[in-house]
Amino acid sequence: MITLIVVIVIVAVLALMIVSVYNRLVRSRNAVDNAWAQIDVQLKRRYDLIPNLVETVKGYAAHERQTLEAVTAARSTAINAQGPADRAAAENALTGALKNLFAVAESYPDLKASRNFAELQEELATTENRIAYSRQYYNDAVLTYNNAIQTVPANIVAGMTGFTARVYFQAPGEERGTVQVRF
Amino acid sequence: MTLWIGAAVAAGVWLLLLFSMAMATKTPDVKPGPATGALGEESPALVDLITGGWRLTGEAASATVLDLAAKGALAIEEVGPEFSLVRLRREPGDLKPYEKLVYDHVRSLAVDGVVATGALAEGSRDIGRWRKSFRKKVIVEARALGLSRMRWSKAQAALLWVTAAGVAVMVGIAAEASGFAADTPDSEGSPGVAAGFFCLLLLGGLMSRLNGERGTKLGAETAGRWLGVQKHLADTGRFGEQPAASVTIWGRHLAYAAALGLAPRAVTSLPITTTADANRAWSDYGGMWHPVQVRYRSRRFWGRKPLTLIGHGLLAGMMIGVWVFIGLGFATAYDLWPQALLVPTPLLIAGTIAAIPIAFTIIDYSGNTVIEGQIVRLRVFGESSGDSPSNPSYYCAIDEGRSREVDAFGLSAEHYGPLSEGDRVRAVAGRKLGWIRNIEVLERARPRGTTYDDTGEHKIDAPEHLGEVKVIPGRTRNEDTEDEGGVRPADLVTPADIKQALGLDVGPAEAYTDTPVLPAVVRIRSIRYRTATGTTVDVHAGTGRRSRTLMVLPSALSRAQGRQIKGLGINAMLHPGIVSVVTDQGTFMIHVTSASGPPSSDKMMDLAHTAAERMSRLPQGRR
Repeated sequence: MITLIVVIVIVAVLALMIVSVYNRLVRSRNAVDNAWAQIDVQLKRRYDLIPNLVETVKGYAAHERQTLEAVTAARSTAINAQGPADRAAAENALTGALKNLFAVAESYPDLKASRNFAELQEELATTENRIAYSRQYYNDAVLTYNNAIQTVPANIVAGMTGFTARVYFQAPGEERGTVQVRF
Repeated sequence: MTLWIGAAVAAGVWLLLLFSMAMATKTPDVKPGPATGALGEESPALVDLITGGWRLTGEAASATVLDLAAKGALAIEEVGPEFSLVRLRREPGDLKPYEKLVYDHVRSLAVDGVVATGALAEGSRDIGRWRKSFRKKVIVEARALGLSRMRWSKAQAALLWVTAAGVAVMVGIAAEASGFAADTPDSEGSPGVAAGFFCLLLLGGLMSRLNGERGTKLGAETAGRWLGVQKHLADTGRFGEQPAASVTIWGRHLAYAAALGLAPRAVTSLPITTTADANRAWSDYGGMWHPVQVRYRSRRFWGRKPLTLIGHGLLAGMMIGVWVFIGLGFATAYDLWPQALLVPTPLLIAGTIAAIPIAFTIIDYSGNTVIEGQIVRLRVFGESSGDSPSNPSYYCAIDEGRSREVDAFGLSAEHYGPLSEGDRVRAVAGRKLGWIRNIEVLERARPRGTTYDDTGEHKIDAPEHLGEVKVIPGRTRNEDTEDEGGVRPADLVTPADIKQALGLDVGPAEAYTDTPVLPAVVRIRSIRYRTATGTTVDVHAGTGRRSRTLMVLPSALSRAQGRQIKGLGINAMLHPGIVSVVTDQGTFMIHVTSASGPPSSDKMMDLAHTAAERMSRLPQGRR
């Protein structure tokens, strides 16, 4: 009888522990999803600004077709990219294309003096900054989540309930750290 | 007995006087007006004051941040769950003094124009002084608009003090004349004076508790109107759930909701009047603000000098070994433990415990672990609370940029003294024992939340019970005053010294013509050096014990937390742009004011060392 009671108590404690760990993992995973959604918002903001930017530059430097097409192509690639790693690589490529575009714009004083261009440039710089912070926050959330599902004993619960590691928002070969982009 | 009865009656009459004056000068009743959505001209900070019983709350500063965001001087952007950024936008234009105080604090923290909302609690400001400064600035405006006034006028306060002094005198006479004098030896002083003094303190304290800011008739009407706004906002908007970033949508309504206590979530996320958390720091190492969790491990085997830990380990091993031996002795008596293992077991346990710190020490010293990063926390913990803990332990947490969790390392007082939060450092430390053997500052922290332009406001008399700092205006003095004794500041710091230490070309010493820093009775001499670009170097010096009052001024002038400097005079404190030193010969203070910010700590200390050395070599007649 006593043995039975002890067994029941042990099972109950184990069950409570499993439930507690499971809930913690769920919260951690939701934090990652939420952080990714925030990145998505900032990235979409950037995508929306780019067509306006391309049109503005075309009005002053129409023959810089190659640079403008590179930006448009990079934007399409970024929109269609799937998964954090691919998306990070595509976003880095888009950032590089934009930097080239702004470098080209230096040669056109009328374009630089354009108020619309200046506002777009500032808005893009602000968006880049927000993306950088969102990215940092997302990667921190992923680290916390991956640690949670890979450390003992939570990894046992994670394995039983289908939690898998998440990928950082960084291009392959890129150090996981802050990327400051300045135009 | 008669005298005591008389003193009691006098005290009773005084209390009656105090009570009647308190009733006569209380704020007019505030009647809430009808619910309305029309916002008035008053700022959220003013609204916080007048709707909170003329007491400013911690929400006022957060509401001011929201208001600045609503007006476009700042922007609050959400980039993650409960993670927002405050971004500097366009030039703010004309700001009210308390708005400027808030804006300057945000600007001092911003990296690339951005600061995380959680990092608003960071910075090197003296939080108590900052809050007082903010409060006084709001009160100045409230008084200027006729919404507020001091509870008692100077005449009323004088009447209360004079009558209180009369009561104290009667108590003193009663105490002196009663049996106290018979029981107290002459060498212990006069009990009557002590009793009278204590009585005066008590009555003065009671008077001060009831003093403060109070509303005028106009203020009460305005407060009533705003209470109507509060009702409208409470009924129509769910501001309680709104984050700070929703100011983009709600505009000034969110700022007023915060001031009226309806937006706790937004207020909590803007900790501008909160003391920085010792365990959760914000660091901008690497160019972006990020949170860092700081762990202060138990000092059993962490954060102490290795020899100390080895000694503790030996002692702990011995004590545990003894107890284990005793326990096993009992077990052996009942045949629960083999006799052969009675001695070896406790020896093994004791040896293992004693060996742990020795092993850690060997590991730490066999490799030179270099930690390079930014100091995020400097803390002193001791066995008693207060400003000077006994047996203090010094901790330093360094963000290397690799992890969001860092352990605070222990270090000596000599290493701790010159450090500031935000300094980039390279430390040689042991990761097993958590002890920093050596630390070198690579780059000083940029000034954050340091000197605020506070001319004028701090001179108003706006007490919030006891403890207010009042600057007493006095006549100006020539630094060549030929009164006896004293030390000439021009003898301590010369233009050549300033050039060498600070790199500034100053003219000859001028008379200090600003408001004297201390009353004439303290007998401080002051001079000023000035550069062509407007930078000023003020030198104040004095002799005698009263001159040590100079040590309390830097906190008030700089509105920032200072740190003690070891190895300079009897006592030395360094604040941003200000160094003050007490020596055997006297006290001096050097205050550098520059539009480009205060000089680095190293330069200030160089100048202070020069002045201290010169003070020690002054001719006898000049001391």
